[in-house]
Amino acid sequence: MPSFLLDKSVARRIVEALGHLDNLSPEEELVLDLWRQLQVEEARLFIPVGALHILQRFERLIEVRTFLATVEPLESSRYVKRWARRLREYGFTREDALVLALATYGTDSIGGILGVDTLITLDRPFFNNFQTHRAELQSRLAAMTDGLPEPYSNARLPVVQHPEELVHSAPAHFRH
Amino acid sequence: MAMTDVASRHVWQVAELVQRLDRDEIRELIRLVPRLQREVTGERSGLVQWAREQMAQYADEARPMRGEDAFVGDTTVGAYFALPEAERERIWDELYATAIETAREREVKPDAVVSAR
Repeated sequence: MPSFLLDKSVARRIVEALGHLDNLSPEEELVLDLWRQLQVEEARLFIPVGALHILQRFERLIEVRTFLATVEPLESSRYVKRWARRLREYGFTREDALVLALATYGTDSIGGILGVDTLITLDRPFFNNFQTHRAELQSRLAAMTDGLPEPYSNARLPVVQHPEELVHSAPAHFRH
Repeated sequence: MAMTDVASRHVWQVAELVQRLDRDEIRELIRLVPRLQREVTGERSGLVQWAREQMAQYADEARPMRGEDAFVGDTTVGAYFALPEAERERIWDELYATAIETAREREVKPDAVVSAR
């Protein structure tokens, strides 16, 4: 089952879209379509645990409840902060570095996974910076994982994608 | 198979042309080909209908947002949705920064499933 981390902006826009379905902006329509497509594909969806904490207080609202029912929190593990510090050297903002590190070393609520396949973001500069440095990041991650115990030594760099690429691609694109 | 390839190539060629149009030219195109608008509107209403159906599943556990409900950033739903996008983003950034500061680390099991990438 492919796994996806929706960054906090994607999570926010989906909830906002559900809050005013009669007046969707193009971006809200895009993320809503993405959310639908990922569910049809039976993907495993995560949001950063920090985004969950923001939304959890409002679970009595059906828009929030519906969204949270489809996602799981991705939690920090032992090497998230260390990897995020290294990522900062490639020009990522603190928050972008942390979410990319979370997508690499994050885990579910039982510690049963290490990282996700794909990180989805609406942040174009983040996306572009990742594409620019992708090969270097692969090497840097390989160097870091080399000395780590299992399962952390198996960590892999996720793919970073913008919703537009996923929504406008064939369904088979979601399968790994 | 060959016909599909040809059709697909035509669509890509048209798509490339459309990508070069500015907003006014897009509007002119829609005026000339009204079916484009109908297809888009139809897709949107299908998406909205789907979203409403998803929410209906939780009608016994939760209720729709109302303007006076408390919402993210110590605002109300009404006030929140009246804010410009940049301000909503700022509120989330602030709350998120606090949330990740206090987030605990979880140990990953030795037999954890590693992403396929």
